[in-house]
Amino acid sequence: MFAFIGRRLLLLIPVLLGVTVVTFTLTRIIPGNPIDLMVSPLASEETRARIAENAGLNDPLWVQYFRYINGVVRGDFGDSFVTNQPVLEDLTSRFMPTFELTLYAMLLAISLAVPLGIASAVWSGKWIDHISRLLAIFGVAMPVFWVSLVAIYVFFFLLNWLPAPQGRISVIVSPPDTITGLYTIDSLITGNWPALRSSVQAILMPACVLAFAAMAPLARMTRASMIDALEADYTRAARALGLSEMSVILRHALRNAILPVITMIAIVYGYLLGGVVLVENVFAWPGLGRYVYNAIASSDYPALQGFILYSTTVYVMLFLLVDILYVLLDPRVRL
Amino acid sequence: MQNIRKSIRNGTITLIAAVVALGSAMGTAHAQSDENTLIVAVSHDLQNIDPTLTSGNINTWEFLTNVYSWLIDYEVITTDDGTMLGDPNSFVGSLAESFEWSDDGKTVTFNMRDGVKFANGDALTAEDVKFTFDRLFDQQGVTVGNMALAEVPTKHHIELVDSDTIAIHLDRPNSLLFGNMAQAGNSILNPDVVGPHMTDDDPSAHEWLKSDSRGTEQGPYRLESRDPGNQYVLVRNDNYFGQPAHIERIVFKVIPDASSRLAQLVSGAVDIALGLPTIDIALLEANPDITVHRNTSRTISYIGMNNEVAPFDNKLVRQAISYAVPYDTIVNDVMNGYAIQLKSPIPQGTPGHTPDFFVYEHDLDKARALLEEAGYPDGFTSVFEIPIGNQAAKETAVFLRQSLGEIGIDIQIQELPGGAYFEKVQKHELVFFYTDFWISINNEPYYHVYWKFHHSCCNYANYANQTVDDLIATHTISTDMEARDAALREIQRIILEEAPWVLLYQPEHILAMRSNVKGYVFYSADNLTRYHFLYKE
Repeated sequence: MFAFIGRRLLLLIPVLLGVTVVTFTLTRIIPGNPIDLMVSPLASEETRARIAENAGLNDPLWVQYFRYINGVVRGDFGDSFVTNQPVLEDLTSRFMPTFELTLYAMLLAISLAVPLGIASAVWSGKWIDHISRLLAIFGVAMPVFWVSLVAIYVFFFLLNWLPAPQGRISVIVSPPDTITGLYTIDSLITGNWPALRSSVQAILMPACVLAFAAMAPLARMTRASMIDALEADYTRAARALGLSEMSVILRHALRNAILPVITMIAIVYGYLLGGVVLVENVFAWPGLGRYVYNAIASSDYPALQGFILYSTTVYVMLFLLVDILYVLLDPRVRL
Repeated sequence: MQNIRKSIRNGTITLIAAVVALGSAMGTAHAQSDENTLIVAVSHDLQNIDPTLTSGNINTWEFLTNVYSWLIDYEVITTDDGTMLGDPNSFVGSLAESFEWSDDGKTVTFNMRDGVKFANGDALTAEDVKFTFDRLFDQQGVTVGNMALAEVPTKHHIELVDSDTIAIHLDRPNSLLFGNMAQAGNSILNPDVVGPHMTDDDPSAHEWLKSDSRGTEQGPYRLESRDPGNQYVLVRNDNYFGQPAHIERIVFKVIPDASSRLAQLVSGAVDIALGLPTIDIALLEANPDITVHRNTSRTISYIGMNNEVAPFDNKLVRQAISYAVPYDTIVNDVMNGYAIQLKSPIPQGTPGHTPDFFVYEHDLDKARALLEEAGYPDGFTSVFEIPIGNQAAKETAVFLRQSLGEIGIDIQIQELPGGAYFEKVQKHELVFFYTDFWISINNEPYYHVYWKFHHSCCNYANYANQTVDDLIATHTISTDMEARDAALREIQRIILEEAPWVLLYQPEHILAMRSNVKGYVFYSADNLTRYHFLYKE
């Protein structure tokens, strides 16, 4: 088991190296000169040349690449051209907001989608199945930024139930002391009730919007997988043995059906990290999505490369986690 | 089975409890700021805040203008109806209490104000001014170019007379200096704060100044904190030498989505929202809770035609296009009426502007005739390039495509990402393009024509005309005002006749705020808000 994890982590090195080569080349092939965004158009040619020189943009590509890798190995991802901060610092400070948002969204999505998927498999073709299908269609078909805007319009603007979309916490509430970096958890631990209240209110809408988008594929996958399991021989055997229907569904069918759902959860989580860009933008959520959006718009090479390295790592880790979960859940799988 | 039922029931109870808890927490969702706090919704975070080497982001300039002061500043005048305005062509002492010009117009002496302090309490003296200008010239950043244009080319032209007096020597008398000095690039810095960050690798302390200003400010506000990507907070500078700011704290909240900024302004969750689309302004004007300040800006929007690239190297083609553009439609439907038509490359409001030579109007027959005369009776095809995400550019492009289509010119609209667009602009590689970001900060007509039609930096359309060049070179820094004005008329006549650009519009500078926020003063020099004038009722 540990040898397996070790091997997989070792594999991460060539993957990441490959990713750096590709992103490094790509970010430099696409048009856009960062110098134009770094200094005013009135700057003299000498100033521009000096800044380009200082940023190392005049060296051959391979020299720039090796300088970059050399830094990355030592934890130096370079400075963002736009924020002027070290990229690693930028990514770290924006990781937790995104993680908090996607975590709640995912938990919400799973806790709603899995029971819904099971129910629509058990009562296949009945009203619950139709509702589930309808929800799935809406979840997939409605663009997430549009749902965000409608949600803001209804719950903030018309009903005034939820606060203005101003990010993680109200402007006039001080954030809790940092322990985990998750505002909701930190304010709970430190007993900071105003912060807890404000951060829960702030995360509710964006998390629900994201969860809505993530629910659709999860519920459909659970349903499909459950239908197969319910028709399988072992289920018929369990029924024949006279086990109660609840036991057949939850202990026999679900345990077999849940494996593909877990893979799906990992895929959806990856998808969520993409969808979060739009949601963060609308809700002014200071996370990674907005950071990378700005980085793309302004040819911020170091920030882009840093983000891609980060997300590659997250994906690889996520699927490693899925593999480990498989072992724990499925006695047939051995490592 | 019993266990499952129990756990389902427990789960349901927990869920309901959670929902109820959340519901009760939502009772008072609105959190409005008090009279000592102003919340401003901005679209972008600060970028590089080194005053002498900053980039063009408006929020960054506005930030610098509110935390720093300069030796001289624009005079605030009160118009007949009681409105206060920053006069772009009249200057008064700021950090310097007064100034005198020598009779030959080649030396200006500044007498420093007594008792001025930096935000950290350090005294501000003429030595600090000398330090600032030495750094400015050593760094060779952006501000240096402006100083050189005003005939102050080296740091040796800045003389420390004594601890209360500083003199600036000009190689030739001219009228550009003060306009160039009344902006953030000339912010006086605190050597005790900036000095320790100066290293052999970074003698100008750019690495520190690009992301911090704490301690070296002397303006009405100082930087309290920055949470990158989320917000930056200014707090009143109690050591400010002038009238103290009314509002104690200003939270600049980054809210990238324009409709979200709008909704929050309307609901009162923010006090001011910047960068709202013109289509929403009419709605806000009808709202009694919102005050919309509208002022015609001197920003110019135009369509550039690369004068070196066929077919745009043909004057007749450029004139034909100038006759084909539906000017009224663009002002009324693209800008929704929140603009005036631009009738000279020198905008209305800048001294020397004249609309007299603008002969173009939407006349397709004339456009067709000119195109035929130019040798393109069947028109041609071309690409029209615009920056991505710019709504006005996109809508202008659509109307342009339709109008040009009627005279046989078939254009494809190409949207370029920000970085790529600016790179091509800077390299003068665009052929047929939309641009709308130019404003001459010091409201000086020669400054305008110099950068746009003479100097290589920003003559994006590659316009070249020897007569115009000579006129600009002779009169840019001349003090013979009559000859200058006459030359300026001639320059405008030639440029309009040769039509290197299609002139589009001057947008209004629009600032929408809650009605209880009062005291706004418009500075047409740079359109930037001075927040210390604002107060809440």
